[in-house]
Amino acid sequence: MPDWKAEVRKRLSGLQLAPARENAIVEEVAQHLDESYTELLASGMSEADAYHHVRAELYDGGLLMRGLQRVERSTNPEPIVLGTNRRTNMIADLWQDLRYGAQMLRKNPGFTLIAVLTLALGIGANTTIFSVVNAVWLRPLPYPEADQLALVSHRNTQRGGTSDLTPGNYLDLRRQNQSFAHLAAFYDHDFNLTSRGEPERLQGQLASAALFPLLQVAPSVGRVFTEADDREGAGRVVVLSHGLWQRRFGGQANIIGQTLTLNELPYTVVGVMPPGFIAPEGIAELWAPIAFTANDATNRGSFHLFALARLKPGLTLTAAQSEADVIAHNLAQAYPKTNTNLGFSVVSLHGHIVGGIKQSLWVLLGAVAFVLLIACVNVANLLLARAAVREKELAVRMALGAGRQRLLRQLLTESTLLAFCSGALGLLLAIWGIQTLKLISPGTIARLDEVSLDWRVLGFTLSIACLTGLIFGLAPALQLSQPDLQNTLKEGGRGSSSGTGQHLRGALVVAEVALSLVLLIGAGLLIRSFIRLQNVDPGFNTDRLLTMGVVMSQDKARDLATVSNFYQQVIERVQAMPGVEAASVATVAPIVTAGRRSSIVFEDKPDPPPGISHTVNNRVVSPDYFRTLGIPLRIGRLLSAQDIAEAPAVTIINQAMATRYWGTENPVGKRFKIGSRESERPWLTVVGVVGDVRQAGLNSDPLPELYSPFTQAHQQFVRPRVLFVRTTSDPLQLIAAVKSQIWAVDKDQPINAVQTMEEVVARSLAQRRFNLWLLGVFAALALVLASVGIYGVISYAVSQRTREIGVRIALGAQPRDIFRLVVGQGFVLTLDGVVIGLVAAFALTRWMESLLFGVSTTDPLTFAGVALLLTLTALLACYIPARRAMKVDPMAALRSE
Amino acid sequence: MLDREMKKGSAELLILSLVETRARHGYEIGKLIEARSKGVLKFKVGSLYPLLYRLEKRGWIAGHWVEKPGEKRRRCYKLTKEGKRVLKAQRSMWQSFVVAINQITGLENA
Repeated sequence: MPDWKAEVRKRLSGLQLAPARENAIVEEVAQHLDESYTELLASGMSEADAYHHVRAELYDGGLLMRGLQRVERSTNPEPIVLGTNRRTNMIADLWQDLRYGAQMLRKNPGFTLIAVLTLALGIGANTTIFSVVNAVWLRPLPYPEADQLALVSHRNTQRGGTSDLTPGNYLDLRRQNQSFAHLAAFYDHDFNLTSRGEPERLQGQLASAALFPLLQVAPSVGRVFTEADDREGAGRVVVLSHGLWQRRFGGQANIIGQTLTLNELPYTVVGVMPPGFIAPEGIAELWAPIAFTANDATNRGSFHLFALARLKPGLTLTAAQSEADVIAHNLAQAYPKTNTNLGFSVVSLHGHIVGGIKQSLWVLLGAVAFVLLIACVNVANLLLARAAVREKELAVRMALGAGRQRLLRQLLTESTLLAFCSGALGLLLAIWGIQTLKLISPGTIARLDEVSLDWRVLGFTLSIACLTGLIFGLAPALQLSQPDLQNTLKEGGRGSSSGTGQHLRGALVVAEVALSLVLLIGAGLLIRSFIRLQNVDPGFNTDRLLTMGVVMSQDKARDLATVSNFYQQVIERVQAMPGVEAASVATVAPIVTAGRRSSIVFEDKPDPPPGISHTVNNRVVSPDYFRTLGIPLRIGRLLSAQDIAEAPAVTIINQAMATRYWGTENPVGKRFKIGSRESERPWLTVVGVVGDVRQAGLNSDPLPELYSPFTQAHQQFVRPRVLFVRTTSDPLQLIAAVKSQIWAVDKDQPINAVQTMEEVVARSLAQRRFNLWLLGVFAALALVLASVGIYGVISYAVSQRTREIGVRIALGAQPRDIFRLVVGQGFVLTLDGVVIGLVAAFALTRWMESLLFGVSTTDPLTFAGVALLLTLTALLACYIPARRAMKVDPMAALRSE
Repeated sequence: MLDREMKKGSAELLILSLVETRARHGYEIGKLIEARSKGVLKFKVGSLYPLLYRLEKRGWIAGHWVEKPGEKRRRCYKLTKEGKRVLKAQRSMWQSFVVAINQITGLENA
C-alpha cells in the first residue's frame, strides 16, 4: 500500500497550517485515497495503474491545495453590525445598541408612548405598593436595635388567644426573669387638661420608668422620668410628646418645670420627647409614671398592661419564651385560682405590629404583580405586531452577517431601554400614588405615615424595570432574531413568521385574560363582602345619632353620686333641647369595641373549673340608652329612672347571653354576680332581654352582653364616657348647642371624638374600603389593559386577513359570517383565558379568606359574574375590528395584493 | 457530466442533503453522490474536502472522529441545526429554480 499520508503532507506543505490541523486533514484525505486505491484493486486494476489513478486524483492541477487555501486560510469576518466589527468590545456594542434603540423609539413615538405609559402604570403601581411593604414591613421599627424588642402578653394555654398582662403577674415576671435587659409596662390613660384655655381631653399613657431606656430614646428637652418618679406617692411628673409641646404650648423653651392641671391634679413637666417619637402601642401625646401601688402587686384579675421587653444581647425569643413558660408554670402553681392555664407569650414587637396587615399587603402585592404582568403582555404584543415591520430590517442585517445572539442582544437592549423609561415614569407615578395612598388611607395601617421612597424602593423599581424589559422583550426578540431570510427578503416585506407570531400573540392574550380574571375575581369578592357587611344589621339604628366623648376626670368623679349627678344633668339638659329625640350615656360606643369583659357566676349554676370562666361584655348605660339607640326589647322591661343605687341591683342582658346560658328558658328573674361568688358585689337580677348589637364591628358576631344602669354601677365603679344624642334632623347642626349644654354643667369638661354614628360605622369599614378601593383600581386597570390587548390582536389579525376576507366576501360570504369569523377568533381566545383564569383564581383566592365577610373564597356568583363581565368586555373589544372586517371591499382587498 | 459551475452551485445542497438523516464520512459522501447520480456527478478529493471544511466552518455541518474496533478511525459529518435551516432554504430555492428553468426551456412538456 502506498504511503498516502506522505503524499498528502507533501501537497499541503505550502499552506503552513497549524500542525494539529494539518495532521487531521492528512489523516482524513489519506484514508480516502486508501479506500479509493483498495477499491480500484478490487475491481481488477493493477497496483501500478491504481496508484497512478489515485495520485492523479490527488494532484488534479492543485485543486485540493487551492480549495484548502481558500477555506483554511480565509479570515472569518466578524458579523457586520451597524458599522462595527469589534465583537470583543462589549461597552462599545452596548453604547451602540443603546443609541440605536433610542433612535428606534424616537422614530415610533406612538408605539413608544403607549408602551411606556402601559408599563409605567404597572411599575408605578408596584413601586407604590412596595413602598408600603417597605415602610410597614421591611424597615425596622424607629427604635435603636429594634430587633431586640418584644411584646409580652398573657396567653391562654388551653384555648389560645392573648390578652394584656395583669399588674401582679407583670411584677412577678419582671422580678423573676433573666432574659430581659429591660421590661416595661404601660397602658393608655387619658388626661383632661384644664386651666389652660379650652379644656381638652389628651390621649396619654401611664408607663414604667424603664420604658424610655428600654426603647433607647432620649428626650429632646429635659429628662424622662426615673425609678424615683415611678413610685407610689412620688411627685407627679409628665413627659410631653413633641407634637403636643408644639401644638398646645407653642414650643416654649421654658416648658420644663411648668405645672399642668391634668385630671384636676398638678403635674410638673420634666421633659419633651424628640419629634417622630411614637409609643410602640396605642397613641399617646404625654406620659406619666405608672407608679404601681401595693395593691397592684396582688392584682391578677385586671388584664390591662402592655408589656414591652428588650432581650439581653444574643438571646433569642425562643429562649425568652421558654423562661417565661417556666415562670408562668410556677405562678400557676402559686396562684391556681387566677393563673391556671395562664401563660406568657413573648413575640417580636415588629411581627406583632406588622402581623395584622400582612395579608392585605400580600394580596395587594399579588394584584400589582398581575397588573405589571398584564402590562408586559400588552407591550410584548405591541412588539410582536411591530415584528412584521422589523422582520425585514433584521433579515437584512442578518444577511449582512449579524449573528443571532448579536441581534437578540440588540432587541433586548431596546426593550430594556423602553422598560427604563417606563421605570422613570413609573417612579413619578409612584410618588403621586404614595401621596394619594396616605390621603385615602383609613389610618388603621400601622406605620403608613412612614411610607416614602428610599434606596430600597428605588432598587426595587430598578430591578422590576430590568425584569420587565426582559419579560416583555424576550418572546418577540426570540421570534424576531430567527427570521426566515429567504422568504422575508423575497416577499417584499410580508413577514413569513406572521403565522407563528399570531399564535404567540394569541397565547399572550389568553394569559392576559386569565390574569385579569383572577384580579377581577379578587376585587369582586371584596365588593361582595363589602356589600354584605354594609347590609349587616348592627342591632341598632345608626341614623341621626350623634356621639361624643364626655369623660369626667378621675379626680372629679370621686363617688357614684357625683358621677350620676353630672351625667344626669347633661342628659336632662340635652334631652330638653329642640331637635333632640333622646339622649343617654354609656361606657363605650357600639361598633368601635366590644368593651369591658367581665367574668360572672350564676346563682343557680355551679362555678366553672379554675382557668375557665363565663365571660360576658359589660356595658354601663343610662336608662334611656336602649330607646336612644333603638335597641329593641325582647322580654321583660328596660331600665328605668327608679333603678337607683338604693334599689335592688338589676341588669338587662342581650339575646346572645340569654340563649347561651338559659337556652329557651326565660332568664327574667335569674340572678348572677360579676366577679367571684365570694365577692362583696351584689347579685344582679335580670329584668329584661334586648336585641343583639354588633359591638366589636359589623363583621363580628354579637357576644353575650350585660347592661347595668350607671346609677347602680358602684359595684364596678365604671364611669360613662360617651354621650349619645338622637336628633330629629341633621345631627351635625346640634354639635355646638350640645357642647354648650355640657359646659353649662361643668365649664372645664373636655369633649372629644365628636362624630355621628354613621361616621363611626364608615370608619369601622375604612380598612376594607381601602383594600377594596386599591384592588378595584388594579382590577379595573387590568380589565382595560386586557381589552386593549384583545383589541390589538384581533385588529391586527383582521388587517393581516384582509385579502382572505375579501375573497370570502367575493365568494358570497355575508357580513354576518365575517362578523362571526372575527368575533369567533376573539371569543375562543377569551374563553381559553377565562377557563385558565377561573382555575387560577380558584387556587389563589383562598389567600384572601381573612379579608372576606359572608362570601366564600370560591363564591360561584362572583366567579360566574366576573367571567361573564370579562367575556362581554372582550367581545366588545372584538366588535370594532369585526365591524371593520365587515366593511372590507373585496375588489380593493384583492387589488392591493 | 454537468458543467463545472453548475456543480459548484449545487454541491453544498448535495452534501447537506446527504448528511441530513445520518452522519457520513467523506469517502461515503463522494461514493453516494456518484452512485445516486448514476455517475453523472463525481467529486474528486480536491473539491470534496475543501467543501466539507467550508461547510463545517460555517457551522452547517459538524465533523467528529468515530472509532470502531478493528477499523481505522474516520471523520464523520452530520447536519447541524443551522445546517438544517440552510438546507430547507436551499431546497426551496433550488426547486423554484428548477421549475423556472423547466418552464422557460419547455422541458416539462417535452
